[in-house]
Amino acid sequence: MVDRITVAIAGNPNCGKSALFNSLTGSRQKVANYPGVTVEKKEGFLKLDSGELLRFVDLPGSYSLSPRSLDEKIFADFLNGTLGTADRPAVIVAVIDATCLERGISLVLELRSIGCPVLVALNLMDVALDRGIQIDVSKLSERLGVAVIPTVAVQKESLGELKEALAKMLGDKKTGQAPASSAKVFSTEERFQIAESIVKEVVIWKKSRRDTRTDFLDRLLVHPVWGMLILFMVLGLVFQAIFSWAGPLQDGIESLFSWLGGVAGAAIAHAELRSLVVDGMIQGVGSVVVFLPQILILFLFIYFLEDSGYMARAAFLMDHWMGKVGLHGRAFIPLLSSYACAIPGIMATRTIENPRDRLTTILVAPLATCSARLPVYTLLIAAFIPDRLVLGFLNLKGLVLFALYALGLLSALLAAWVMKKLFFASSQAPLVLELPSYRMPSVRTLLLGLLEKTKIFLRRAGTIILTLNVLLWFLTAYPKAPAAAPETQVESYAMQIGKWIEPVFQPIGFDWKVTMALIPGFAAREVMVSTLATVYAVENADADAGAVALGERLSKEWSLATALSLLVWYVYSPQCLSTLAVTRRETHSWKWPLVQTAYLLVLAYLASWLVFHAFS
Amino acid sequence: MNSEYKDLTCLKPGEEARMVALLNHPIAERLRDLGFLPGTWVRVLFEAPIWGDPIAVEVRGTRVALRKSEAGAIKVDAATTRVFDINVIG
Repeated sequence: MVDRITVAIAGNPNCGKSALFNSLTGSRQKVANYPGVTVEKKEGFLKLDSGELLRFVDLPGSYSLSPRSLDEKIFADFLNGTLGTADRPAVIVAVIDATCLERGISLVLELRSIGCPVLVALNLMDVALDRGIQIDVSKLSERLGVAVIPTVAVQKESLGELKEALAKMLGDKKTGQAPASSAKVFSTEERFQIAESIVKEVVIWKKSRRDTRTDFLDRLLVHPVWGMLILFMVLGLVFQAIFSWAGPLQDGIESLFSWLGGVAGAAIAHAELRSLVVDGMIQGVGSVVVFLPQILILFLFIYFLEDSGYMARAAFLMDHWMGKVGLHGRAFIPLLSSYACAIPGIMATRTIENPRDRLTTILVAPLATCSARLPVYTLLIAAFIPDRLVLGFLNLKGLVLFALYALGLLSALLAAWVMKKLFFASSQAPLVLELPSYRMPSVRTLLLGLLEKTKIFLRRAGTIILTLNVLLWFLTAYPKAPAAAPETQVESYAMQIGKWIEPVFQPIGFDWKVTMALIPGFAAREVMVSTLATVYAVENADADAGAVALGERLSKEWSLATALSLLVWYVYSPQCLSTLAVTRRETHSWKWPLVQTAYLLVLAYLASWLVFHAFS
Repeated sequence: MNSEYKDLTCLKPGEEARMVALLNHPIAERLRDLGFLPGTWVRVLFEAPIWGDPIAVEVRGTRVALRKSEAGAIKVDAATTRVFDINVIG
């Protein structure tokens, strides 16, 4: 195998670095983790015309080599060669924003002192041109003492020069002609002073220097009235998209897997194997894939908002409110997304820089009243809450539904506040948030990002969800009646477990039928309805008539107290394997999903107990 | 210390002044990396709705959002205050 040469891609945040990385490596990317930490390592490959195989590492965007955050520490360690067992990179490609030259030059001055050859990619040249910024590239190169290549990252074609320069640099290195790397180490003040003077020499401004487009958009988007209105409209749009666009796609996926199940079922003669494949595995895989539409739609919006620059403004607008519970403005969108579904919501916490804020948000996300709870809420409210008007015009059923939502929201906020106060340092993480220039996101970057998310979800979360689904199938399907006497009543393992744990749940009003339904109900919240139908032997609970029949049956068998207790249980209980799997994936350990499950169960039990005793 | 040296928060949206010092604060280093250095011109662009916190400032061409508590670490020479020529937001 050809030796891979490591090239680090370094630069400030928001300078188009990742777009450059994408253009160089296309879909030949790999995302892993830096050893021992939760920072993602992005690697991609490119074969040069001269034959070398390059391994590009897209480092976290940083402002300097002095680590202020975990991301910046990884950045510095990697470049210094002190990260794990990796050697220092052969070349550093420093990506700087042509419209923000001072900061970029300051970083390059720092990078020069490491001892690796540096190649500067002067990016966003098209934007600079637009704004009338003219740069004398050869003079800049002379003053910096390194090669400077102008680039427009989103245009793959413009990268030919960059690749040539890289090839030349690697060639020089091999023949020992690398320039002396004894650059002096400057202080921050000195670096900026030098950068200022270089910029004066090298840049000519043909128009006014201001980014008037960003000024104009900010006037609108951060306006006291219009800004907030637009924010809520954008959020409403995201929500609407997840509910109404994802719905048909999810139905399509479910139909596809039902069809697959049918085909497989017809093809397999052996009854037990058939059940394993159809009810266990195909059903299990289907239950994973069904989340993809929601994930992709949410992330399409998130990537668009982030890359365009709007996300920072949203965080800016909501920071004060989030601060009331100790969270950062950036926690707003992930938390809100969890109201549709916590799975993409938790995945979206990646945008929260502070690890403790991120963890808190992940832990409380399941408390947001997600859409999967609705089937259970509607069933029980329809069956148990009488049709009455409160205060003459408010429907009691509607009020109860609203109360459940409100309870979820308040619990999430309170839980976040408590966690931050008790465990995670009560002060709000610093803001110091860069508001980047508004930009039109590149379609390729968006699509590559979605592809990455799909791979991550399917590979990591998918395997856990599938495994646990098969396990649950096993518990509900076995043991079976002996072949000789197929009519004998046999209790499945799930039923046995249900009866065995019943005493624990009696104080909150659940009998064994409910506890048994909770077991497959732990896979996914909406499964509870069909399981209850099975337990109470009601046909077609998915159809409206069936749901009504189930509701009627339950209203005869359960007391109001039990129904309300189950409703409140549902507000808190962590009955979603996929949430568990995604939490595991995002926190890189089993500790936090277990903590999440445990505290939610405790809250569910307490709340149910209170409600059951209040109403019985 | 010169009594004209005030917090950045003394500036209104649309005003700019010259920085004189950066106080010791947990985020001081991060601010320095962004270019908040003595002698640098800092502008206040706009404030967040309702609470007026956080604020958006501009330094060396970069727009940065800061909480008022963080902006307090930035000392400017109030005597150099002037309005910069762009419409104020809000």
